[in-house]
Amino acid sequence: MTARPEQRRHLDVSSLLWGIVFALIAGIAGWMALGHHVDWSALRFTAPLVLIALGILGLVLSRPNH
Amino acid sequence: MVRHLVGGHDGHMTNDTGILSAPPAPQPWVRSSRDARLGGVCAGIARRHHVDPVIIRVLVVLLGLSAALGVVLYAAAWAFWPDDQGGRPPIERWFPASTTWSVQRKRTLTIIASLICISTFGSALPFSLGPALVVLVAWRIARRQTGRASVVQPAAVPTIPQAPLSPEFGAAAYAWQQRIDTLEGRATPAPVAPTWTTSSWVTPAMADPLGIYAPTAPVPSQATRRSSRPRFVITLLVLLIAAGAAGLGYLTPNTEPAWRMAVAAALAVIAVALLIGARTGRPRMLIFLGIILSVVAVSPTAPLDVRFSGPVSQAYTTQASLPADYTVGFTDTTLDLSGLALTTDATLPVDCAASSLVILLPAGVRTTLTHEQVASTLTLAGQDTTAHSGTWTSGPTDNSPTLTLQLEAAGCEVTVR
Repeated sequence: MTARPEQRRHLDVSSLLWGIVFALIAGIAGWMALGHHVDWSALRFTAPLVLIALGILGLVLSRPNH
Repeated sequence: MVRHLVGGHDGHMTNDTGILSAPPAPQPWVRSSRDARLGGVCAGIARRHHVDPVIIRVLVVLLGLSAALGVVLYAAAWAFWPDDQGGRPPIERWFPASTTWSVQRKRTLTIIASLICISTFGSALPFSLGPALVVLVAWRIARRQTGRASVVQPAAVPTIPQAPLSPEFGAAAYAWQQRIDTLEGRATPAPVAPTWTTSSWVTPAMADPLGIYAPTAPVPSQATRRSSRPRFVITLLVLLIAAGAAGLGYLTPNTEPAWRMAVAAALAVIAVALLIGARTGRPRMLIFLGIILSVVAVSPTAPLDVRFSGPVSQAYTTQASLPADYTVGFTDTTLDLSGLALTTDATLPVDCAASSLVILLPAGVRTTLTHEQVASTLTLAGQDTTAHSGTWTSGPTDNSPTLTLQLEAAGCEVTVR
Protein backbone atom coordinates (compact mmCIF):
# COMPACT_ATOMS: atom_id res chain seq x y z
CA MET A 1 0.00 0.00 0.00
CA THR A 2 1.44 3.33 -0.99
CA ALA A 3 0.71 6.62 0.69
CA ARG A 4 -1.42 9.05 -1.22
CA PRO A 5 0.40 12.19 -2.23
CA GLU A 6 -0.65 15.20 -0.20
CA GLN A 7 -3.23 17.09 -2.18
CA ARG A 8 -3.04 20.39 -0.34
CA ARG A 9 -0.71 22.12 2.02
CA HIS A 10 -0.90 21.10 5.67
CA LEU A 11 -2.60 23.57 8.01
CA ASP A 12 -0.93 23.97 11.39
CA VAL A 13 -4.03 24.19 13.58
CA SER A 14 -2.24 24.92 16.83
CA SER A 15 -0.32 27.78 15.21
CA LEU A 16 -3.58 29.17 13.86
CA LEU A 17 -5.33 29.01 17.23
CA TRP A 18 -2.42 30.47 19.17
CA GLY A 19 -2.24 33.27 16.62
CA ILE A 20 -5.91 34.09 17.13
CA VAL A 21 -5.56 34.02 20.92
CA PHE A 22 -2.50 36.26 20.88
CA ALA A 23 -4.20 38.66 18.49
CA LEU A 24 -7.17 38.94 20.84
CA ILE A 25 -4.95 39.53 23.87
CA ALA A 26 -2.88 42.08 21.98
CA GLY A 27 -6.08 43.86 21.04
CA ILE A 28 -7.27 43.97 24.64
CA ALA A 29 -3.89 45.19 25.88
CA GLY A 30 -3.74 47.87 23.20
CA TRP A 31 -7.28 48.95 24.04
CA MET A 32 -6.30 49.28 27.70
CA ALA A 33 -3.11 51.17 26.84
CA LEU A 34 -5.13 53.71 24.89
CA GLY A 35 -7.01 54.53 28.06
CA HIS A 36 -10.25 52.75 27.32
CA HIS A 37 -12.11 50.79 29.97
CA VAL A 38 -12.14 47.00 29.83
CA ASP A 39 -15.06 45.32 31.54
CA TRP A 40 -13.27 42.46 33.27
CA SER A 41 -16.42 41.21 34.96
CA ALA A 42 -17.88 40.55 31.50
CA LEU A 43 -14.60 39.25 30.13
CA ARG A 44 -14.32 36.59 32.83
CA PHE A 45 -17.35 34.92 31.25
CA THR A 46 -16.71 35.68 27.60
CA ALA A 47 -13.06 34.63 27.62
CA PRO A 48 -13.80 30.97 28.51
CA LEU A 49 -16.53 30.91 25.90
CA VAL A 50 -14.12 32.21 23.27
CA LEU A 51 -11.59 29.57 24.30
CA ILE A 52 -14.22 26.85 24.02
CA ALA A 53 -15.19 28.12 20.58
CA LEU A 54 -11.55 28.08 19.54
CA GLY A 55 -11.24 24.56 20.90
CA ILE A 56 -14.19 23.44 18.80
CA LEU A 57 -12.64 25.14 15.79
CA GLY A 58 -9.42 23.28 16.49
CA LEU A 59 -11.22 19.98 16.73
CA VAL A 60 -12.99 20.58 13.43
CA LEU A 61 -9.81 21.59 11.66
CA SER A 62 -7.85 18.68 13.17
CA ARG A 63 -10.15 16.06 11.70
CA PRO A 64 -8.26 13.80 9.31
CA ASN A 65 -9.30 14.25 5.70
CA HIS A 66 -10.19 10.86 4.24
CA MET B 1 4.73 -28.92 18.30
CA VAL B 2 5.12 -25.30 17.54
CA ARG B 3 3.05 -22.96 19.65
CA HIS B 4 1.83 -19.92 17.83
CA LEU B 5 1.68 -16.77 19.82
CA VAL B 6 -0.07 -13.78 18.42
CA GLY B 7 0.45 -10.35 19.83
CA GLY B 8 -2.60 -8.16 19.81
CA HIS B 9 -2.44 -4.49 19.21
CA ASP B 10 -3.09 -3.84 22.86
CA GLY B 11 0.02 -5.72 23.91
CA HIS B 12 -1.81 -8.83 25.16
CA MET B 13 -0.57 -12.26 24.08
CA THR B 14 -3.05 -14.89 23.04
CA ASN B 15 -2.42 -18.50 22.14
CA ASP B 16 -4.21 -20.72 19.61
CA THR B 17 -7.29 -20.97 21.74
CA GLY B 18 -7.56 -17.23 22.13
CA ILE B 19 -7.13 -17.46 25.92
CA LEU B 20 -5.67 -14.32 27.40
CA SER B 21 -2.31 -14.92 29.01
CA ALA B 22 -0.74 -12.89 31.82
CA PRO B 23 -1.44 -9.16 31.46
CA PRO B 24 1.48 -7.12 30.26
CA ALA B 25 3.33 -4.68 32.46
CA PRO B 26 1.83 -1.16 32.35
CA GLN B 27 3.44 1.11 29.82
CA PRO B 28 5.46 4.01 31.26
CA TRP B 29 4.22 7.58 31.15
CA VAL B 30 5.98 9.23 28.25
CA ARG B 31 5.45 12.20 26.00
CA SER B 32 4.75 11.45 22.39
CA SER B 33 7.08 13.19 19.99
CA ARG B 34 5.36 11.96 16.85
CA ASP B 35 1.88 13.47 17.04
CA ALA B 36 2.55 16.21 19.57
CA ARG B 37 0.67 19.49 19.27
CA LEU B 38 2.37 21.34 22.12
CA GLY B 39 4.43 19.21 24.46
CA GLY B 40 3.25 15.74 23.50
CA VAL B 41 1.66 15.06 26.89
CA CYS B 42 -1.91 14.54 25.62
CA ALA B 43 -0.70 12.37 22.76
CA GLY B 44 1.37 10.31 25.19
CA ILE B 45 -1.60 9.75 27.49
CA ALA B 46 -3.80 8.88 24.51
CA ARG B 47 -1.34 6.35 23.20
CA ARG B 48 -0.96 4.78 26.64
CA HIS B 49 -4.71 4.32 27.01
CA HIS B 50 -5.48 3.69 23.32
CA VAL B 51 -7.87 6.60 22.93
CA ASP B 52 -8.10 9.47 20.50
CA PRO B 53 -5.68 12.28 21.49
CA VAL B 54 -8.44 14.82 20.81
CA ILE B 55 -10.40 13.43 23.77
CA ILE B 56 -7.44 13.91 26.08
CA ARG B 57 -6.90 17.43 24.77
CA VAL B 58 -10.52 18.33 25.45
CA LEU B 59 -10.22 16.98 29.00
CA VAL B 60 -7.05 18.97 29.60
CA VAL B 61 -8.76 22.14 28.37
CA LEU B 62 -11.62 21.46 30.77
CA LEU B 63 -9.10 21.01 33.55
CA GLY B 64 -7.54 24.29 32.51
CA LEU B 65 -10.86 26.01 33.19
CA SER B 66 -10.79 24.55 36.71
CA ALA B 67 -8.66 27.19 38.39
CA ALA B 68 -6.04 26.59 35.68
CA LEU B 69 -5.45 23.16 37.19
CA GLY B 70 -4.94 21.65 33.74
CA VAL B 71 -2.11 24.06 33.03
CA VAL B 72 -0.23 23.01 36.15
CA LEU B 73 -0.77 19.29 35.56
CA TYR B 74 0.21 19.61 31.91
CA ALA B 75 3.35 21.53 32.83
CA ALA B 76 4.25 18.96 35.50
CA ALA B 77 3.78 16.08 33.07
CA TRP B 78 5.80 17.86 30.43
CA ALA B 79 8.61 18.54 32.90
CA PHE B 80 8.73 15.13 34.56
CA TRP B 81 8.03 12.71 31.70
CA PRO B 82 10.64 11.56 29.18
CA ASP B 83 9.74 11.43 25.52
CA ASP B 84 9.11 8.21 23.65
CA GLN B 85 12.37 8.55 21.73
CA GLY B 86 14.38 7.91 24.88
CA GLY B 87 15.05 11.56 25.67
CA ARG B 88 15.41 12.67 29.28
CA PRO B 89 12.69 14.65 31.03
CA PRO B 90 13.17 18.40 30.59
CA ILE B 91 13.57 18.95 34.33
CA GLU B 92 16.53 16.55 34.38
CA ARG B 93 18.16 18.54 31.59
CA TRP B 94 17.68 21.80 33.46
CA PHE B 95 18.30 20.50 36.98
CA PRO B 96 20.56 17.44 36.85
CA ALA B 97 20.10 17.01 40.59
CA SER B 98 16.47 16.06 39.96
CA THR B 99 17.52 12.69 38.52
CA THR B 100 17.60 11.39 42.08
CA TRP B 101 14.08 12.59 42.86
CA SER B 102 11.63 9.86 43.73
CA VAL B 103 8.22 9.57 42.15
CA GLN B 104 6.71 10.49 45.51
CA ARG B 105 8.63 13.76 45.60
CA LYS B 106 7.51 14.64 42.08
CA ARG B 107 3.91 13.91 43.01
CA THR B 108 4.24 16.05 46.13
CA LEU B 109 5.61 18.98 44.13
CA THR B 110 2.78 18.63 41.63
CA ILE B 111 0.17 18.59 44.39
CA ILE B 112 1.69 21.66 46.04
CA ALA B 113 1.75 23.52 42.73
CA SER B 114 -1.87 22.51 42.10
CA LEU B 115 -2.96 23.79 45.50
CA ILE B 116 -1.19 27.09 44.93
CA CYS B 117 -2.82 27.36 41.54
CA ILE B 118 -6.28 26.65 42.96
CA SER B 119 -5.88 29.21 45.72
CA THR B 120 -4.59 31.80 43.24
CA PHE B 121 -6.91 31.36 40.28
CA GLY B 122 -9.88 29.76 42.00
CA SER B 123 -11.62 33.10 42.41
CA ALA B 124 -10.51 34.48 39.05
CA LEU B 125 -12.20 31.83 36.89
CA PRO B 126 -15.96 31.47 37.18
CA PHE B 127 -16.13 27.69 36.89
CA SER B 128 -14.36 26.75 40.12
CA LEU B 129 -13.62 23.01 40.22
CA GLY B 130 -16.76 22.01 38.29
CA PRO B 131 -14.97 21.10 35.05
CA ALA B 132 -12.45 19.06 37.06
CA LEU B 133 -15.31 17.00 38.52
CA VAL B 134 -16.70 16.46 35.01
CA VAL B 135 -13.27 15.30 33.86
CA LEU B 136 -12.97 12.98 36.85
CA VAL B 137 -16.35 11.35 36.15
CA ALA B 138 -15.59 11.07 32.42
CA TRP B 139 -12.23 9.52 33.19
CA ARG B 140 -13.77 6.94 35.54
CA ILE B 141 -16.35 6.00 32.91
CA ALA B 142 -13.68 5.74 30.24
CA ARG B 143 -11.50 3.54 32.45
CA ARG B 144 -14.47 1.27 33.14
CA GLN B 145 -15.23 1.02 29.42
CA THR B 146 -11.58 0.28 28.72
CA GLY B 147 -11.64 -2.48 31.33
CA ARG B 148 -14.66 -4.11 29.68
CA ALA B 149 -13.05 -3.81 26.28
CA SER B 150 -9.93 -5.60 27.51
CA VAL B 151 -12.06 -8.56 28.71
CA VAL B 152 -13.68 -9.08 25.33
CA GLN B 153 -10.50 -8.22 23.45
CA PRO B 154 -9.20 -11.82 23.00
CA ALA B 155 -12.17 -12.83 20.89
CA ALA B 156 -11.68 -9.79 18.71
CA VAL B 157 -7.96 -10.31 18.15
CA PRO B 158 -7.43 -11.87 14.74
CA THR B 159 -5.33 -15.00 14.70
CA ILE B 160 -3.15 -16.53 12.06
CA PRO B 161 -5.10 -19.06 9.98
CA GLN B 162 -4.51 -22.42 11.60
CA ALA B 163 -4.70 -25.12 8.96
CA PRO B 164 -3.30 -26.07 6.72
CA LEU B 165 0.04 -24.41 7.46
CA SER B 166 2.07 -23.70 4.39
CA PRO B 167 5.24 -25.79 4.08
CA GLU B 168 7.36 -22.67 4.04
CA PHE B 169 5.91 -21.34 7.27
CA GLY B 170 6.22 -24.79 8.87
CA ALA B 171 9.86 -24.97 7.93
CA ALA B 172 10.56 -21.56 9.37
CA ALA B 173 8.69 -22.39 12.55
CA TYR B 174 10.59 -25.66 12.88
CA ALA B 175 13.92 -23.85 12.51
CA TRP B 176 12.84 -21.34 15.15
CA GLN B 177 11.81 -24.08 17.56
CA GLN B 178 15.07 -25.94 16.91
CA ARG B 179 17.10 -22.88 17.73
CA ILE B 180 15.20 -22.38 20.96
CA ASP B 181 15.68 -26.02 21.94
CA THR B 182 19.40 -25.78 21.20
CA LEU B 183 19.75 -22.74 23.42
CA GLU B 184 17.77 -24.40 26.22
CA GLY B 185 19.63 -27.73 25.87
CA ARG B 186 16.63 -29.82 24.85
CA ALA B 187 16.55 -32.57 22.25
CA THR B 188 14.78 -31.67 19.07
CA PRO B 189 12.75 -34.25 17.15
CA ALA B 190 14.05 -35.21 13.78
CA PRO B 191 13.26 -32.67 11.11
CA VAL B 192 10.73 -33.39 8.48
CA ALA B 193 13.47 -33.07 5.91
CA PRO B 194 12.54 -29.79 4.40
CA THR B 195 13.92 -29.04 1.04
CA TRP B 196 15.80 -25.75 1.30
CA THR B 197 15.30 -24.15 -2.02
CA THR B 198 14.66 -20.55 -2.81
CA SER B 199 11.04 -21.42 -3.41
CA SER B 200 10.69 -22.45 0.25
CA TRP B 201 11.92 -19.18 1.67
CA VAL B 202 9.48 -17.48 3.95
CA THR B 203 8.61 -14.02 2.80
CA PRO B 204 7.84 -11.28 5.33
CA ALA B 205 4.22 -11.31 4.25
CA MET B 206 3.95 -15.06 5.00
CA ALA B 207 5.75 -14.89 8.34
CA ASP B 208 3.84 -11.79 9.49
CA PRO B 209 0.50 -11.84 7.71
CA LEU B 210 -1.05 -9.39 10.18
CA GLY B 211 1.70 -6.82 9.90
CA ILE B 212 2.28 -6.88 13.63
CA TYR B 213 6.02 -6.64 13.30
CA ALA B 214 6.00 -4.12 10.49
CA PRO B 215 8.61 -1.42 10.85
CA THR B 216 7.48 1.75 12.49
CA ALA B 217 7.53 5.16 10.91
CA PRO B 218 11.06 6.32 10.20
CA VAL B 219 12.68 8.70 12.63
CA PRO B 220 13.55 12.04 11.05
CA SER B 221 17.13 11.90 9.90
CA GLN B 222 19.77 14.53 10.52
CA ALA B 223 19.29 15.82 7.01
CA THR B 224 15.59 16.29 7.68
CA ARG B 225 16.35 18.20 10.85
CA ARG B 226 18.72 20.46 8.95
CA SER B 227 15.89 21.45 6.65
CA SER B 228 14.14 23.14 9.59
CA ARG B 229 17.01 25.55 10.12
CA PRO B 230 15.47 28.28 7.95
CA ARG B 231 12.69 28.47 10.53
CA PHE B 232 15.20 29.81 13.04
CA VAL B 233 16.07 32.55 10.57
CA ILE B 234 12.38 33.35 10.21
CA THR B 235 12.07 33.37 14.00
CA LEU B 236 14.89 35.87 14.30
CA LEU B 237 13.28 38.00 11.61
CA VAL B 238 9.96 37.95 13.45
CA LEU B 239 11.67 38.87 16.72
CA LEU B 240 13.38 41.83 15.06
CA ILE B 241 10.08 43.04 13.64
CA ALA B 242 8.41 42.54 17.04
CA ALA B 243 11.16 44.56 18.72
CA GLY B 244 10.66 47.34 16.22
CA ALA B 245 6.91 47.28 16.74
CA ALA B 246 7.45 47.40 20.50
CA GLY B 247 9.60 50.48 20.09
CA LEU B 248 6.98 52.17 17.98
CA GLY B 249 4.30 51.18 20.48
CA TYR B 250 6.31 52.65 23.31
CA LEU B 251 6.66 55.95 21.48
CA THR B 252 2.99 56.12 20.56
CA PRO B 253 1.49 59.26 22.13
CA ASN B 254 -1.48 59.23 24.49
CA THR B 255 -0.85 55.73 25.83
CA GLU B 256 -0.84 54.93 29.50
CA PRO B 257 1.17 53.00 30.42
CA ALA B 258 3.50 53.07 27.44
CA TRP B 259 5.00 49.68 28.19
CA ARG B 260 1.63 47.99 27.76
CA MET B 261 1.27 49.38 24.25
CA ALA B 262 4.81 48.21 23.49
CA VAL B 263 4.06 44.67 24.65
CA ALA B 264 0.74 44.67 22.79
CA ALA B 265 2.48 45.71 19.56
CA ALA B 266 5.10 42.96 19.91
CA LEU B 267 2.40 40.43 20.70
CA ALA B 268 0.43 41.48 17.65
CA VAL B 269 3.46 40.87 15.44
CA ILE B 270 3.88 37.39 16.92
CA ALA B 271 0.18 36.71 16.38
CA VAL B 272 0.40 37.67 12.72
CA ALA B 273 3.53 35.55 12.30
CA LEU B 274 1.74 32.54 13.77
CA LEU B 275 -1.30 33.07 11.57
CA ILE B 276 0.92 33.19 8.50
CA GLY B 277 2.96 30.27 9.83
CA ALA B 278 -0.16 28.16 10.05
CA ARG B 279 0.13 27.85 6.28
CA THR B 280 3.82 28.28 5.60
CA GLY B 281 5.33 26.56 8.65
CA ARG B 282 5.40 27.71 12.24
CA PRO B 283 8.48 29.73 13.27
CA ARG B 284 10.06 28.31 16.40
CA MET B 285 9.62 29.56 19.97
CA LEU B 286 6.92 32.05 19.05
CA ILE B 287 4.18 30.32 21.04
CA PHE B 288 6.33 30.28 24.16
CA LEU B 289 7.26 33.93 23.69
CA GLY B 290 3.65 34.83 22.96
CA ILE B 291 2.45 33.26 26.21
CA ILE B 292 4.97 35.28 28.20
CA LEU B 293 4.04 38.52 26.44
CA SER B 294 0.34 37.77 26.95
CA VAL B 295 0.82 37.46 30.69
CA VAL B 296 2.83 40.67 30.77
CA ALA B 297 0.37 42.55 28.56
CA VAL B 298 -2.54 42.16 30.96
CA SER B 299 -0.64 41.78 34.20
CA PRO B 300 -1.69 43.89 37.18
CA THR B 301 1.72 45.34 37.82
CA ALA B 302 2.66 48.61 39.45
CA PRO B 303 -0.18 50.80 38.11
CA LEU B 304 -2.69 48.16 39.28
CA ASP B 305 -5.19 49.21 36.69
CA VAL B 306 -6.41 45.70 35.89
CA ARG B 307 -9.36 44.41 37.87
CA PHE B 308 -11.42 41.29 37.54
CA SER B 309 -14.55 42.80 39.04
CA GLY B 310 -16.01 46.19 39.70
CA PRO B 311 -15.37 48.32 42.77
CA VAL B 312 -16.74 47.00 46.05
CA SER B 313 -17.55 48.99 49.14
CA GLN B 314 -18.15 47.30 52.47
CA ALA B 315 -19.12 49.19 55.61
CA TYR B 316 -19.28 47.96 59.22
CA THR B 317 -20.82 50.10 61.93
CA THR B 318 -21.23 47.72 64.87
CA GLN B 319 -18.80 45.45 66.60
CA ALA B 320 -21.11 42.46 66.22
CA SER B 321 -21.19 42.83 62.44
CA LEU B 322 -17.42 42.59 62.06
CA PRO B 323 -16.42 39.39 60.23
CA ALA B 324 -13.91 36.95 61.63
CA ASP B 325 -11.71 37.49 58.59
CA TYR B 326 -11.96 39.96 55.71
CA THR B 327 -10.53 38.78 52.36
CA VAL B 328 -10.01 40.89 49.23
CA GLY B 329 -8.95 39.44 45.88
CA PHE B 330 -8.73 40.84 42.34
CA THR B 331 -10.96 43.81 42.97
CA ASP B 332 -11.16 47.47 43.97
CA THR B 333 -12.45 47.49 47.53
CA THR B 334 -13.23 50.13 50.09
CA LEU B 335 -13.45 48.85 53.66
CA ASP B 336 -15.44 51.53 55.39
CA LEU B 337 -14.98 51.44 59.18
CA SER B 338 -15.52 55.17 59.65
CA GLY B 339 -18.84 54.63 61.41
CA LEU B 340 -17.70 51.74 63.58
CA ALA B 341 -18.51 51.95 67.28
CA LEU B 342 -16.64 49.69 69.72
CA THR B 343 -17.54 48.69 73.26
CA THR B 344 -14.56 46.40 73.78
CA ASP B 345 -11.32 45.68 71.95
CA ALA B 346 -11.76 44.07 68.53
CA THR B 347 -9.44 42.41 66.03
CA LEU B 348 -10.03 42.16 62.28
CA PRO B 349 -7.60 40.18 60.07
CA VAL B 350 -7.53 41.56 56.50
CA ASP B 351 -6.06 39.47 53.67
CA CYS B 352 -5.52 41.30 50.39
CA ALA B 353 -4.29 39.82 47.10
CA ALA B 354 -3.82 41.60 43.75
CA SER B 355 -6.27 44.35 44.65
CA SER B 356 -6.62 47.99 45.43
CA LEU B 357 -7.85 48.41 49.01
CA VAL B 358 -8.87 51.57 50.83
CA ILE B 359 -9.48 51.29 54.57
CA LEU B 360 -11.39 54.12 56.22
CA LEU B 361 -10.60 54.11 59.94
CA PRO B 362 -13.18 54.97 62.61
CA ALA B 363 -12.96 58.44 64.02
CA GLY B 364 -12.32 58.66 67.72
CA VAL B 365 -11.32 55.00 68.06
CA ARG B 366 -7.80 53.95 68.90
CA THR B 367 -6.58 51.83 65.98
CA THR B 368 -3.51 49.61 65.73
CA LEU B 369 -2.48 48.33 62.31
CA THR B 370 -0.01 45.48 61.96
CA HIS B 371 1.00 44.87 58.38
CA GLU B 372 3.00 42.38 56.35
CA GLN B 373 3.27 43.12 52.65
CA VAL B 374 4.79 41.51 49.60
CA ALA B 375 5.08 43.39 46.30
CA SER B 376 2.61 45.95 47.61
CA THR B 377 2.40 49.64 48.30
CA LEU B 378 1.01 50.89 51.62
CA THR B 379 -0.03 54.44 52.35
CA LEU B 380 -0.74 55.25 56.01
CA ALA B 381 -2.49 58.60 56.54
CA GLY B 382 -0.85 60.03 53.44
CA GLN B 383 2.60 58.62 54.18
CA ASP B 384 3.96 55.87 51.94
CA THR B 385 5.78 53.07 53.72
CA THR B 386 8.16 50.66 52.11
CA ALA B 387 8.65 48.43 55.15
CA HIS B 388 7.70 44.80 54.60
CA SER B 389 6.15 44.67 58.04
CA GLY B 390 5.45 46.93 60.97
CA THR B 391 2.93 48.39 63.37
CA TRP B 392 1.14 51.72 63.07
CA THR B 393 -1.14 53.34 65.61
CA SER B 394 -3.62 56.19 65.34
CA GLY B 395 -6.43 57.71 67.34
CA PRO B 396 -6.70 58.67 71.02
CA THR B 397 -4.24 57.32 73.54
CA ASP B 398 -6.64 56.88 76.44
CA ASN B 399 -8.01 53.55 77.64
CA SER B 400 -10.85 53.44 75.11
CA PRO B 401 -11.49 50.21 73.16
CA THR B 402 -8.86 49.44 70.52
CA LEU B 403 -9.43 48.19 66.99
CA THR B 404 -6.58 45.98 65.77
CA LEU B 405 -6.25 45.45 62.04
CA GLN B 406 -3.96 42.61 60.96
CA LEU B 407 -3.19 43.36 57.33
CA GLU B 408 -1.50 40.88 54.99
CA ALA B 409 -1.09 42.16 51.43
CA ALA B 410 0.38 40.58 48.29
CA GLY B 411 0.42 42.51 45.04
CA CYS B 412 -1.85 45.20 46.48
CA GLU B 413 -2.17 48.93 46.68
CA VAL B 414 -3.44 49.66 50.19
CA THR B 415 -4.43 53.07 51.47
CA VAL B 416 -5.34 53.64 55.12
CA ARG B 417 -6.87 56.92 56.16
